[in-house]
Amino acid sequence: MKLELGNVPIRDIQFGVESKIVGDVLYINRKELQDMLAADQALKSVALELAKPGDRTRIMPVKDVIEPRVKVRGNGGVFPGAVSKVSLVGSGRTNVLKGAAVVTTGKVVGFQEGLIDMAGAGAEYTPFSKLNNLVLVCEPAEGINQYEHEKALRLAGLKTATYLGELAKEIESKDVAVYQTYGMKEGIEKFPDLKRVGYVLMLQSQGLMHDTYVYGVDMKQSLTTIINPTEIMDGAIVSGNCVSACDKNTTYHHQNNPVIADLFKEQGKNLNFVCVIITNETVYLADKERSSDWTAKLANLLDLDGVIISQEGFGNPDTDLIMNCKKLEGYGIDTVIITDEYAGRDGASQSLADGDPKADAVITSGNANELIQLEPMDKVIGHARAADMISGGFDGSLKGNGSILVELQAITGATNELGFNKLSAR
Amino acid sequence: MLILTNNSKVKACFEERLQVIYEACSPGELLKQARDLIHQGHELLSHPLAGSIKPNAAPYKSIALGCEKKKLDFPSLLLIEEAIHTYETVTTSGLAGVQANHTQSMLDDFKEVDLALIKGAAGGIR
Repeated sequence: MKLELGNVPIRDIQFGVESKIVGDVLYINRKELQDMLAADQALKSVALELAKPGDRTRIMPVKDVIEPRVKVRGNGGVFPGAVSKVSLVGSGRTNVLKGAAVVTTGKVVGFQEGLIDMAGAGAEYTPFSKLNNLVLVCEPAEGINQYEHEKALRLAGLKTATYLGELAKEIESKDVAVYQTYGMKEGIEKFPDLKRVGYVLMLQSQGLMHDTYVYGVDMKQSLTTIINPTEIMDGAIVSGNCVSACDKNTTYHHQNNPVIADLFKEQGKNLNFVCVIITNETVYLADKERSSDWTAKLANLLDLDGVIISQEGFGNPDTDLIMNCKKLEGYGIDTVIITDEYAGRDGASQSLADGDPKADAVITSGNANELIQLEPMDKVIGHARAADMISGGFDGSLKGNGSILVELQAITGATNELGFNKLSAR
Repeated sequence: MLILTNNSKVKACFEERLQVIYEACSPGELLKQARDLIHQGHELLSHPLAGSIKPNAAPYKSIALGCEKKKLDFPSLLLIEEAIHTYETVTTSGLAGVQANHTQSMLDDFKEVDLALIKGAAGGIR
């Protein structure tokens, strides 16, 4: 499979009379987009706001962040099974609005998740402070339950990203990267002397606000399976989870997975990047056994020499992580795991809820319990009172002057276990 | 299947088709009650640390166990002991915890998420 990603740089975002891209500025017709989103009867209203790098703006509670993309050539459309029809993606050319993002906010339940500061100390902990964000503030229609509300928010974000992506369909990108994958036999013939390396991508899949969707399928209803990394770049995996936002993968993280990017960089030089194995993280122990059995079995069938495993979340997924690691090592496949830590505010407590001597190559993306003082912002998009009720926040988190004392876990992407963050490990 | 819960919503959802033990207690006490049941020979079927709301921040918890009493299942015992350890670590270390004075609507939301978690396996409750 071969996918070309054509970057279309976006350095500013503004509301205008027509939705279009001129140079590196993204203009959005506010009313046209609002009318499109209002077609969903689950939503009473959608307000659109802009948040740019350096703005003294706080966005909360964040549900998802999505990068606008569009298929220019090749099969299918972005976010298959969610926005586009179900059809295999991952080949041809896709244009990317690099530097722009759609951020969804909304109050699905009383306790709230995820904040993004566009300036100040907190901005350094989230990659999304560097982007030109279009923020959707969604209010549900009367009588909508939490499940319908979550789904409406998720789809509003994906539809908006698709709408913005379409604006770049006819643009000829001057910055194109090519990602090529090979079949089993082809890969062995092409790289006969290189180690065969796979990537096990663990996906949060436990229930309301703890779910991930692959081609529209709720991942907790899927057995462990194989996916081509370029399919993920076209939006085959979308996020439906945001609780304890520091180590949850937004859709943006999936579209820009840094483990995949680095494996492609090494492809043909130091290793043969074979494929991605996606597996779930469920509540039932029998499912954990089955899914980790299949992870190890598929890796063995693919004759992998080594595997990188990235976790999503903490606590119960620690069990999935260690099961995957132990069973892969049991087949003689070397593993490196990427996780984060809940080691107390001083970092002295046990970091993971599970462990094993076989897990002897570990990368941490930081301690989610570390406290951070976030200074007051001039503007809050969303719900300011959410600070007291955010994971990582506590009664009194929100100070009278608008500053917030929270654990890093409140900041969207702060200890992301794909390694997307850059500041929280030292 | 037996469900041990302190969540009235879970009780109402399952009591007509499954054995439900409902206790109006803290999540920490519920974990210890699950340990007692494991010592009596019930096998643990769901992970006791389900969900991403931190153990000390979630007021409701539901745990699935096998109905039958069999020989003591050591992996179940190990898992529940680790969960109790994690719970006690976070509740005694002064980390962010349960906020006082939750509104009724907030408590209902916590109940709903706990219900979604216990239902949230492939194919639901079997």
